[in-house]
Amino acid sequence: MNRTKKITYLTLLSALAVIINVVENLFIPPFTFGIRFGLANIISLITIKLFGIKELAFVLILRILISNLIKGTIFGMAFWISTSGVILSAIVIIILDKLRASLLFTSMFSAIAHSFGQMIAIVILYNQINIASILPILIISSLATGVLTGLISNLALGRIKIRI
Amino acid sequence: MKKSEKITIIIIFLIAVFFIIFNRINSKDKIMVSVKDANDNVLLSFDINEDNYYTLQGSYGTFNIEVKDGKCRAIDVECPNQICVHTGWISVDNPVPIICLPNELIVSIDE
Repeated sequence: MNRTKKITYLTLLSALAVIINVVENLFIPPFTFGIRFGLANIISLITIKLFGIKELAFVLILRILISNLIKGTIFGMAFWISTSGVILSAIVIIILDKLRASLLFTSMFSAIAHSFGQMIAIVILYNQINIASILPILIISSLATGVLTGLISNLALGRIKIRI
Repeated sequence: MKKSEKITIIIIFLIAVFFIIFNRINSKDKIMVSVKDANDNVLLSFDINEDNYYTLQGSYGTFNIEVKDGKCRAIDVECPNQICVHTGWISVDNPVPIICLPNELIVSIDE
């Protein structure tokens, strides 16, 4: 795949991730304990399967910056919390991809890592260790949303026909 | 999905369920709520399971706390933004602290 084509695909994926993130934030309010679907993780999974680690980092950085610029939360408290979740889940995705784990498992584990990273940031920023008591509930809901995003990205990967 | 992955998921699920049950059992009957000022001095400490109504003098105006059915909230507070009032009911299941910046007060559930 030549350079221009690759850049086009990566920007397309970044734009998709931004749109999914912003639309999810606008139309699906978080449930109790701030449980969300995390649909933007679909794009991360697709990117690591189609391209690789460097491209995943590119798409994620663009997604974080642009979606937070649109939402108007850039460099605020919520920005750092969500960013630490994204970083930890990206690390997990990369490690599990190296270990050749299945997509569903990667998705579920990265969802857990996402809530873990957010929890670490909340504990550090707000200095409230008690809030970690809702972590078991978050982990169980992460398993459920991880199955959802994993199935969707499996379906999407089956239909994408890019020659790399 | 491979077999080892399934086992890992089941183990994580069981650990999470265990901790939820553990938290439920371990939660004490007497849950104390403390009101602190900006210098971490405890102004008031009360049991969340005893219905009551407390009135405090903050650095901006009066600050009232309503305790009912194992929950508590800030009510009738003299401050410009009313962020503490909009925090709503807090309880063991929703342990967010109520913070009022103009009155320099923090209402939080203790461990």
